[in-house]
Amino acid sequence: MTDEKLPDFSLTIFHNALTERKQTDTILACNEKTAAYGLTLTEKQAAALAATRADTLKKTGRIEFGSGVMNKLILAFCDSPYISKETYEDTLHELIDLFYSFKNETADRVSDDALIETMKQAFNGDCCGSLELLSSAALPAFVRELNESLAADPFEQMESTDDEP
Amino acid sequence: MTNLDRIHVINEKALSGKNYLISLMTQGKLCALLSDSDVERIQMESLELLAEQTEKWSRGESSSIRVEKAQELLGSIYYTVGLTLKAYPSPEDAIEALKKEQLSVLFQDGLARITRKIQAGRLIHRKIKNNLFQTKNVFYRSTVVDGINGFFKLYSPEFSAQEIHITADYPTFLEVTDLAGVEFIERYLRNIACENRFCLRFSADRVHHLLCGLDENYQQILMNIYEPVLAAALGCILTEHPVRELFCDLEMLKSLFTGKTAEQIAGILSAALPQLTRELGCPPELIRYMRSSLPKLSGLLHRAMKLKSLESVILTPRWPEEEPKILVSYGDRMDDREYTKVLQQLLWCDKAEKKAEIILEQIHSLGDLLEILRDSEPTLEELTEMFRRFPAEVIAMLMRQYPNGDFLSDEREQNIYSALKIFCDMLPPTARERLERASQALRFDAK
Repeated sequence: MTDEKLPDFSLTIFHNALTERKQTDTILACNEKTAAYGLTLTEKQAAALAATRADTLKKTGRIEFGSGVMNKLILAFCDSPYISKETYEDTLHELIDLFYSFKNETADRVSDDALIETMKQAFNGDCCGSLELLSSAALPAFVRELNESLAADPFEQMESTDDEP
Repeated sequence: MTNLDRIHVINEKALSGKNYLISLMTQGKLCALLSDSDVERIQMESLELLAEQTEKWSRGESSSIRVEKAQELLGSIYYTVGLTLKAYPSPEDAIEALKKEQLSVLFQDGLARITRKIQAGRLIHRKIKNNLFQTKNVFYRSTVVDGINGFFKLYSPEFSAQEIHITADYPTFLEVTDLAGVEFIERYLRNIACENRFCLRFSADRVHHLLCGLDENYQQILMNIYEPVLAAALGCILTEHPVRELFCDLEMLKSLFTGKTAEQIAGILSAALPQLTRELGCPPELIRYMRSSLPKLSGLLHRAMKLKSLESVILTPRWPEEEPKILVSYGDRMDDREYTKVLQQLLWCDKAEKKAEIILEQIHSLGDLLEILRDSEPTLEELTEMFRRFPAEVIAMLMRQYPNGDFLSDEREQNIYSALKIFCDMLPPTARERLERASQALRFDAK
């Protein structure tokens, strides 16, 4: 028998499944479309966003597969009248954090696309581009409504106990 | 090389029934049957499978999931692949398959096996339900019928194959250990099927009276039914009593087992088994189960002999319905205002002896007594002190009301039960036995 390292099959080996390098490339690829709105990110900025994504996933106790949602978030918000060249990167950092936090808040009952659409509508609408309003008012209100509608519809709640989103 | 020629390098005892894949990989690595590159490939394929399963679970609507959910999905993948690998003739063959086949192929094979196991489980379950042994023990039916129905309803082979989602409360005599998911349920059902078939060879009434020999309230006790029936049946063979009556000569058994080791007792039981199975007309599968039960049963008998309590394993049937009974009524309850006054007096009072005095003077019905003991919330010490002042007939009624503490969900009732136990333990054995006999004779009038 050897005393070499035993294979690790816990989830920890998958945590960096989607490498930050790959994410950086995905983010940079969005420049092609966002340039039309005067918004582009440098490689350094894209790497910083990829790092925020990784940190947020860790902080929110989530794990991501596939191409992720970075490109969806960027493309959804690039035409916002409230985002300028100066605020673009900082806004994206905040949006990434909000997105994963509220995926948890909604207990995965809302799809990625629906949550991004809700965030976009609120940000461009009632919040008038305020990230603070988005995080402290609009999104919590959305979660409350979601919970109330589930409480009011016991059949939907029963379905949700099937442990599927 | 045939399987007989193969050199077995893997320590089979180190393989886990619940986490077969991981334990096999660990052993494979330790025995150098798996290389680092094999392990890396399997890790990568696990990741791909996890991503696929996540996509399916979220119906393609979410690219991220909570770590806990991912852990569950990963556990399900490992469990399912493990099920395929267990089917190979040896662990070494399983390692070969793991090296040769893609993980997704082994996973799909495992899913198909799970489907077959579910079908087999449903079939066994249907057979058991169609001919369920009739017993008043509530846990038997609630687990064997309702609980298992719940399993089939909730089980999700694709996303949480390793879970059973229910608590199999009713214990089988041969416990199911180191298995998870559908494998656990299948084995559990097979054990139940054998135990049910065995019990069906006796009249429900005979078994009822045998179990009354353990406790008249066995209906509410989480216990295995097969064990006392098998023990009594073997006892009958050994003492030459009619098997189906389940009433053997305990004294004769005691002398038979005296000074014997567990192995010797197992030998005695083993020698009696063929006659028992012949008389009962047991089919081969049931005979195998009964034979597998003997080592555990002989251990229990050996221990009981050492503790001089053979009667706790070989039960003596009891017919409570033929025993003298005293019907006790809950009585005429006092009106609410009166009751509140007494309760207030008790709450203000801080001496146990005074509390006992108030109760004895002012409470005149059993219904009020039970309620005031709960509502006035005396401490354990106060209750014990109060019981010293209560007449024996009141104590007997309380013992009847609270025969055991297992199913008392109310903390105040738990307290009463505990105080009663402390009080009874302080009594001389003869006084305690008298009280127990008296309490057994009491019946509450439901009116």
